[in-house]
Amino acid sequence: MIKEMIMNKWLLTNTRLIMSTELISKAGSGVMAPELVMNAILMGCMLFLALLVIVAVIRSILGPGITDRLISVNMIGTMVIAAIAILSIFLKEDYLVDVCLVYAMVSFLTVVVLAKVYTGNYMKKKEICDEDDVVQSGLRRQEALEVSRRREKKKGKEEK
Amino acid sequence: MDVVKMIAAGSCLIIGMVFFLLCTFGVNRFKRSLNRIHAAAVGDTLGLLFTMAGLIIWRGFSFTSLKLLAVVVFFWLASPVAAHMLARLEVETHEDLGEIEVDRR
Amino acid sequence: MSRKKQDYEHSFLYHFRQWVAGNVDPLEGTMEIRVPQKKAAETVAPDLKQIRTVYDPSKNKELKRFNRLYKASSLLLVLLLMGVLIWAMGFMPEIGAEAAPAHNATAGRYVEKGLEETGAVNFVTGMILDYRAFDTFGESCVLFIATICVQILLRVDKDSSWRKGRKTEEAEDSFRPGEDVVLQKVSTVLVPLIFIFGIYVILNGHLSPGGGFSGGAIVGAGLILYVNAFGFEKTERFFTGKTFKIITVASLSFYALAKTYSFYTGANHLPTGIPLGVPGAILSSGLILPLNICVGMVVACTMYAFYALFRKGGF
Repeated sequence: MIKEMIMNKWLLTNTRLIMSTELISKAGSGVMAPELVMNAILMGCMLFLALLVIVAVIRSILGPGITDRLISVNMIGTMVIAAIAILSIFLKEDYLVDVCLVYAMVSFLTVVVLAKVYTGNYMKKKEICDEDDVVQSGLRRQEALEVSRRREKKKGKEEK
Repeated sequence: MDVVKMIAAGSCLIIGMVFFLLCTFGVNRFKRSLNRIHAAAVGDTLGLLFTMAGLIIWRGFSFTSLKLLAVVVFFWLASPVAAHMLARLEVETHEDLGEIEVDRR
Repeated sequence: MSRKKQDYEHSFLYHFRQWVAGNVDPLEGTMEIRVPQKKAAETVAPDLKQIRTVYDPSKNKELKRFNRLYKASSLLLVLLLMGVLIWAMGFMPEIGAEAAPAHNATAGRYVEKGLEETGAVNFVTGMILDYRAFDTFGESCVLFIATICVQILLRVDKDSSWRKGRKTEEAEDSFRPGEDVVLQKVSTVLVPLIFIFGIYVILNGHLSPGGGFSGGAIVGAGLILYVNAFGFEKTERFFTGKTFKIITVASLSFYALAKTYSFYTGANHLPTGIPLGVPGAILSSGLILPLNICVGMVVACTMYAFYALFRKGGF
């Protein structure tokens, strides 16, 4: 029974794929059932989104700063959400829309958390650097003070 | 009726794809991060809106299309905040922003 | 009138108590302990010029060659791995093939009798929380143990000066949410929506895709968003380490008890007495709904606890 079920499912998806590809091949031969055309459009949209995601991935690798990378990752999230929504309509599986909602939430949370964490770490590092500067300048001032004291002592001895 | 639906949904989807293309193009074209945020937000709002509108038209009104609408509503609430956080990150961590004047408070 | 013991300080009990409290080293004075004398550390001033020339690939030819080799070999490794994986994909059975190893008697029984025996419309939930509930129990225990391990690893002595300084200053400075009104206003709208969605996913675990793990992750994500917007001071009013312990231990022990009961009755062919209900209704499928809620609470607490531990070092 399970084999039959899986076979049916497989056939269903595959026939849809086959139908849409056949439709693309004989677009001019007068087959204009709206569902088939729509399937072709959905398929084309998903392929197009996949292409754009690849471009965005390249941007996220090249991006010079962390902000550019985050922007392109956020963009990839949006495109993947659109692709999942299209897929759920294409396969007529309603549960994939739930995945969409969760993905939207997670991609928003990613940006917020990463921005917060990075800003916090940056500020801390900056403070540590500033503290180092303060300490070093203080040390330099102390050294200068000691040198001047020694000179004064020497001068006092010489005067005696 | 089906043909009208198909034409409306298909054109909506294609407009959404055009917006996604524009946003990818803009992100690769602009040189500064603050400009790139502006380009990426187009895809987040209009691209997703048109794509989902096309899918809702094609699917008809049901619980699934309500969920698709919920995705759009969530994104319209969340995406400006994400852009705001990114801009804040850029302003706070990038010391040298060129000729852009920033009101640091 | 109690009799006062005069030489209490010389009694065995006193010594034993002192030893338990850790005040007295019982081996002190009885063992010969040689403390190695510390030598004055010889400080060698690092030759900065030499270091710079050694780590500069434009001056050090060996390093340059090594860098090139490193890049080439890593690329080769990745390509090789990709090739092996793609080649191995060719040996996978086709989708729906008769001879696939996944199509055995177990899968057939799950599909045929799953709805009847568990009452869950969603087969996967029926499988992981009924047939394989012991496995899921282990998974949720792993989450709890992982949180405790992280807590142990990040533990700092209470009286160390580092912690004192860190707790007071850092909590106010770098973890303060800042004057981010935009995020705060939007999260007041979004966080309840996220919680409602998470609770919906948890409660509908036996009817639709989802369940304890995914719903708990959604609720935990909502908590993390809330922390990011309002800071730890606000969440600590309702979620502290104590709350975490109570919630996780209570739900894990409830899970263990419920599943023990069901295993005991099942192994002895006794009736469980838990009605399975009408498939498709919210209150159906016996123990699966409360178990889903337990797992969801554990997962949500773990998500938040990990975030708080790695962000703040304790909660």
